[in-house]
Amino acid sequence: MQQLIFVFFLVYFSVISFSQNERSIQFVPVFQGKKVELSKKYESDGNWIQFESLRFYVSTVSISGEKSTWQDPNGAHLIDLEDSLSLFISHDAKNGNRLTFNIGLDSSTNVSGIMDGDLDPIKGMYWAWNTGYINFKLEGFSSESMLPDKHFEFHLGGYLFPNATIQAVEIPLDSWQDRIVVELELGKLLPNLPWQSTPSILIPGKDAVKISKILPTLFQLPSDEK
Amino acid sequence: MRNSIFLLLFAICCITAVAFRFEKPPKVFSIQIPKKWPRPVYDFSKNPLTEIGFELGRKLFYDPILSRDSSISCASCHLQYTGFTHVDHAVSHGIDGRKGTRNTLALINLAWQKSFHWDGGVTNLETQAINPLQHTAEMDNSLSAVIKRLNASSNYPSLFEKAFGKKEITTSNLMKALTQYTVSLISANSKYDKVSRKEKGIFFTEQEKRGLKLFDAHCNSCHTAPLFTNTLFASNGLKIDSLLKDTGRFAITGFPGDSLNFKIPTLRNIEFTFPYMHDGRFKKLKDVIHFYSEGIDYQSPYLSPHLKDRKHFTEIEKKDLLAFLYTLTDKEFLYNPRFSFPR
Repeated sequence: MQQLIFVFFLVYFSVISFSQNERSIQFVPVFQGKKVELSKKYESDGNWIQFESLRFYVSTVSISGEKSTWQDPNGAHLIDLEDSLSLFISHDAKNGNRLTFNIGLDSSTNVSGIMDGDLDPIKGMYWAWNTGYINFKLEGFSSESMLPDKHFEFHLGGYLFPNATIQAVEIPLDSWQDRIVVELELGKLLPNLPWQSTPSILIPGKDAVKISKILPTLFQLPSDEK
Repeated sequence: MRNSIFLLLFAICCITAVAFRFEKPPKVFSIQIPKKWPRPVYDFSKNPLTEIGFELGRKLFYDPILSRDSSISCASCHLQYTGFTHVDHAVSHGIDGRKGTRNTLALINLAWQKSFHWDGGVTNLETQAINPLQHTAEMDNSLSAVIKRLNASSNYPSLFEKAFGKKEITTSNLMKALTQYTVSLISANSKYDKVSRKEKGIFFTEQEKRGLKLFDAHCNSCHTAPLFTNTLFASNGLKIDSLLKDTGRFAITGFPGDSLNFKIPTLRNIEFTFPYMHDGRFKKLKDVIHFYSEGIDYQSPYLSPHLKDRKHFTEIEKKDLLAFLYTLTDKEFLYNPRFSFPR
């Protein structure tokens, strides 16, 4: 009975403290400044695009300031636009002027055997034939796609040299706020995608590396916070 | 409102407490590492072997529940009596009779393997089974469907609870259970092993001795004892199959030098793992020896450096080699009831 009461209070206070903790990093995918909604058609410069899926791994998150650094103890997070809760990563930093994280997973995570939680292969971010994780997945339809059905799918992954796709992101935080909003401007990525040659990248290789290198430039603070 | 939340939390705690009944954890055991063998590559610390976990993995291995239409199991293509390979099939057929493109690899001494599949595309034994489970020419299932099916079954949740402490079946526990079985498939009781251990009354014949000498001189650098593989990849001079056009490890690494490189398979129980090579092109072991004597494509830029010195085996030498290779047969492994269909 004593154990039961102990477990109860542990859960109770954890929930209370979590609900009061508003310190978080929120990822907001946008297209030309507007919040992205899945399956919605966006028109731009005579072309149209419709996003059906956006998922990516964020790992090794840290917030550093002049006096201290907060290091995310939770390893990797799967950010999935379909799952609104996944867009938030809670943090414990009291202050800081620099947010850093990786898009994707390191080689050690890729070879460490079967994993749980966000790293469970059931999440659809795992290649079974060339084992390893897909770091960044963007799927949808676009008028620019050369495929007859206008489909596109970019599964960017690979951890072995020279095809490693993990990317480091560093965002300066000019003014401190407990809730850090980070936009992911997909509009910056689209002009760099190989619409006419390979609008379907499903393996590690040069193409995946080339696009992955652009990813860090997508992450930014909202314009009113810059 | 606050009272409702309080009550809800209390209910959650009660359910949690019931769900996590603290039972005695299952007894952990270690695999028997044969004397003078290297340390296993597999990290047992993250998946300690237990009898209940092994038996669960064994049950899953033989259960067609894993395939989309519940028609085939792992054992359909990995038969124990033939070294856990698909005897007499150049390439295996999976669901709906769909054919794959490669010969089924034997499942022997996997604890010492650094990578899996003919191209080494799989880097950890725990994640290997995801591939056949999802492959359209094999089980053609999805992980989510398998997990859902297992969780809805009458017997598996309680077996997983006994093995891993929780009733809910996850990808992780499914793969760990399968690994507990496959990592335990150790073959180290062939005549070769018994002679090496100087067991009483067991000796090589003169022919086998001559075969061993030839083997040491010409084969052992790749098929290195005691595993009879150096666990690496090589191009052995086979010409590319004109239909399959399988470039092997190149598809994984993208390095041109890896073209036509395939896993160097173990030769343990080679007598029964026919047909041979990554595409099963040779039906008989004597055909393989004949190939190494007369069939190597010396023009290939990818040919293993170990094969560049031409070696023509005489007919007697071929028979001697064959006699030695038969000493790698381990019937105690092939007929071990511990690994067979669970009854």
